[in-house]
Amino acid sequence: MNRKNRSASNFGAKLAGLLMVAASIAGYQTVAVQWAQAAQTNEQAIAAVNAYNQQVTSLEQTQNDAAQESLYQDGVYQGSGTGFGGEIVLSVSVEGGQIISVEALSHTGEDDAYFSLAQSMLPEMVARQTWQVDTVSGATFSSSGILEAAENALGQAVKS
Amino acid sequence: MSVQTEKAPLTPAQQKKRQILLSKRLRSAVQTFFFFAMPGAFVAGFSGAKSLMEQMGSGAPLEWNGFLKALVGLCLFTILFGRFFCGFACAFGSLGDAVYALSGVIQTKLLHRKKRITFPRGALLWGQKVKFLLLAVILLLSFLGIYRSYSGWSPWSVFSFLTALRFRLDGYLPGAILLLLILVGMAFQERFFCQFLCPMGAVFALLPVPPFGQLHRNPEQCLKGCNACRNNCPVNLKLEPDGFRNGECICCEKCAGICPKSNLNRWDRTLLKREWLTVILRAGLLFALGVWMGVCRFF
Repeated sequence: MNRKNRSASNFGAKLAGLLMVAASIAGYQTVAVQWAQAAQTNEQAIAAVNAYNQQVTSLEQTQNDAAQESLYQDGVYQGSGTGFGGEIVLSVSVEGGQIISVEALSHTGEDDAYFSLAQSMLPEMVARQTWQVDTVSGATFSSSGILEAAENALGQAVKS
Repeated sequence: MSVQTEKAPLTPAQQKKRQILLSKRLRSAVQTFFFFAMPGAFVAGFSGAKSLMEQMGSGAPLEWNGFLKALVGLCLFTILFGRFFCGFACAFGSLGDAVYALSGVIQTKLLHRKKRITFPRGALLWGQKVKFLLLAVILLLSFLGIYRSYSGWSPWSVFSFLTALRFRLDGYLPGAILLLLILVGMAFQERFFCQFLCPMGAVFALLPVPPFGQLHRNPEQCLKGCNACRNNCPVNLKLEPDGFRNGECICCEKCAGICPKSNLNRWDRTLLKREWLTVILRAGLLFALGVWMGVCRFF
């Protein structure tokens, strides 16, 4: 009777041992899969950053190439021309070989009504990357003053 | 007209002797079959254990491979049927039996000694613990990822090369020497490698085999001071109702054959009444398993 009661013990001990081994292996596998997934996520993030860096570098490269091909030297240039009633002074900014802005610094001799019409030429110059844009009808003198000033400014920007 | 002399029927003692002889022959036949069919089975199975430890040591997620399949297959079979694999199918075990038998024949015929050398029981029991230490060391070295640098020491690798008829053993000199020493041991102690040195055997010995899955002995029916089973047993085991050492049993069933009171039995022996049938059925199942595990050399 005594033996029977103890009979679970050796078989039971071996069974418990086997179950512990199986549980350890299962536990290890869960953790290892997590580790592998985390490593993979890291690698994907690294790859994404590398790809972005690659993009930026090639974009900079393109920009540099464009700058080297452009007529214009980077910088801010002022040019003046004669409008209807006086001098019109424009400031032209060139960056990366591109005209990025054209602004009116002074136009004292112009009537606001006419100058404000002619002003639409300034953004057009940036859009078309040239000072040679169409004049605005009805504001001929202001327009020609603007053209002169822009030609003047960009003339200074031309690479020698 | 000649008269046919009636053959006298065999006495119970003669019947018993004949039964033992037939069992022995059946076992030898099954061992020979498996020796050619799947000699690499135990190496594949143990490689599964090593591979498991290596993967865990490297921190990578575990991947199912052919070796793990072999390990799981053999362990499941052993949990259900005990160490039948060891007793009937393992090529190394069969080699040990063959070497021991041959050594016995040489000693009888050439040296004229009938009695085999026996070692003290205490030494045998101590020796049987060594394989567990060996198992622990090999698993640890695998976990640490440094076992591979010692693989030239493996005698069972050398043995598996020889069974594949590969005789180039570059880098395996230590293993070859160990194999030679093991063969010497096998000549003087039955199942020398299996009980003292086999790490796969150590794994099997630790598996929870349900009591009904193995031969069991009813102590109450035993003759006082008998020990015939233990004296005949290759691993010096007297089966206990819940003995821890029952894990040493390699299912050779020599005890069942010799017991004067037929006191050793198992559910399928009782059910099928024919020992050879229980052997053939388990052998067939193991062969099918071997095919599934991919260790069968026939296809």
